Amino acid sequence: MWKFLHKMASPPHFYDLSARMIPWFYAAGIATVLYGTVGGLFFAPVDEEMHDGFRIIYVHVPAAYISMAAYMVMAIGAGIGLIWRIKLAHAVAAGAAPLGAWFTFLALITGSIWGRPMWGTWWEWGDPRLTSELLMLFLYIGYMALRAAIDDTAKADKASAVLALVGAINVPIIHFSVEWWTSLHQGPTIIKEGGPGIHPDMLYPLLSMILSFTLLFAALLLARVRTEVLHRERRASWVHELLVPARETV
Amino acid sequence: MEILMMGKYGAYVWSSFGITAVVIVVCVLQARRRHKMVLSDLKARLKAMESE
Repeated sequence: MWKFLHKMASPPHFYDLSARMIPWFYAAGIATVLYGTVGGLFFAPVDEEMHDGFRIIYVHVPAAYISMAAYMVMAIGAGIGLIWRIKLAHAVAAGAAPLGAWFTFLALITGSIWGRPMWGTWWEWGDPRLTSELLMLFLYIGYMALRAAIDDTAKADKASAVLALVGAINVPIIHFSVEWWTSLHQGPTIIKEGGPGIHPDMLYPLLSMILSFTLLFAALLLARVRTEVLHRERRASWVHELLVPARETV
Repeated sequence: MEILMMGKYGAYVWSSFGITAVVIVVCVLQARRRHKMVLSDLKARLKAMESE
C-alpha cells in the first residue's frame, strides 16, 4: 500500500496512470447517472407531501454531498502538502477547488428551485444551512482568487492551504446546521436512526446518483490534477520527453 | 405527457436536472480546455528553447 501510494505521488507515474483511469470513471459515472435519472424521474413513487417536487432530491443531495466532499479533499490535500511537503497533494487541492465551487453552486441553485414550491421562497437569509453552504462557495472562490494572485507556485500553495484549512471548520457546520439550529431545511434522508426513511424504489436511484456524482467528480478531479501536474513539472525532463518522444529515438 | 409535466412541479424538476447537466458538461469542457492550454503553452516553450 505504501509502495503504491509512493509510486502514485511520483508525477510521471501519476500522469500516466490517471490517463488510463479517467475513461473508466466517466463510463461508470454515466451508467449510474442514467439508471439514477430514469429511476428517479419515472419509476420512483410520488412523495406523499411533496408530490413530484421531491424528485429534485436526485440532483440536489448528490451535488450538496460532493460540494462538501470536494472541500474535504481540498483541505486534506492542503494539509498533507503543508505538513509533508508533497507537491502532488497541493496539486490535488488546487484541482478540487473549481469543481467544489461548481458543485456548491449546483447545490445552492437546485436547493433554491426546490425551496420555491416547498417553502414559498427562493432564498432565506439567515437560515443556517443555506448561509453556511453559501459561505463555502465564497471560500472556494477566495481560495482560487488567492492562488491566482500569487505568481510563485510554492508560495501560492502555502497561503491557499492555510485558507483551505481554516475554512474546513465550515464543513461540519454545514452538516450539523439542521440539528444545531432551527432551519427551513429538512433533516437527513438516508443516514439516520432507524435506517433510510424512504421507499426502496426512491432510495436506489438516489444512491446511484450519489455514486455517479462521486465517480464523475473523481474523473474530473483526476483530469484537473493531471493538468496541474503537467504545468508544475514543465521544467522536468519527463515532460519534455513526453512532448517530443520522436526526437528521442532519432 | 402527463408523467413529464409532473403536476405543477414539472418546471422546477426539469430545470434542476437541466442546470445540473449543463454544469457537469461545463466542468468537463473547462478541464479539457485547461489541459489543452497547458499543453500548447509547453510546446511553445519547448520550441522557443530549441530555437535558442
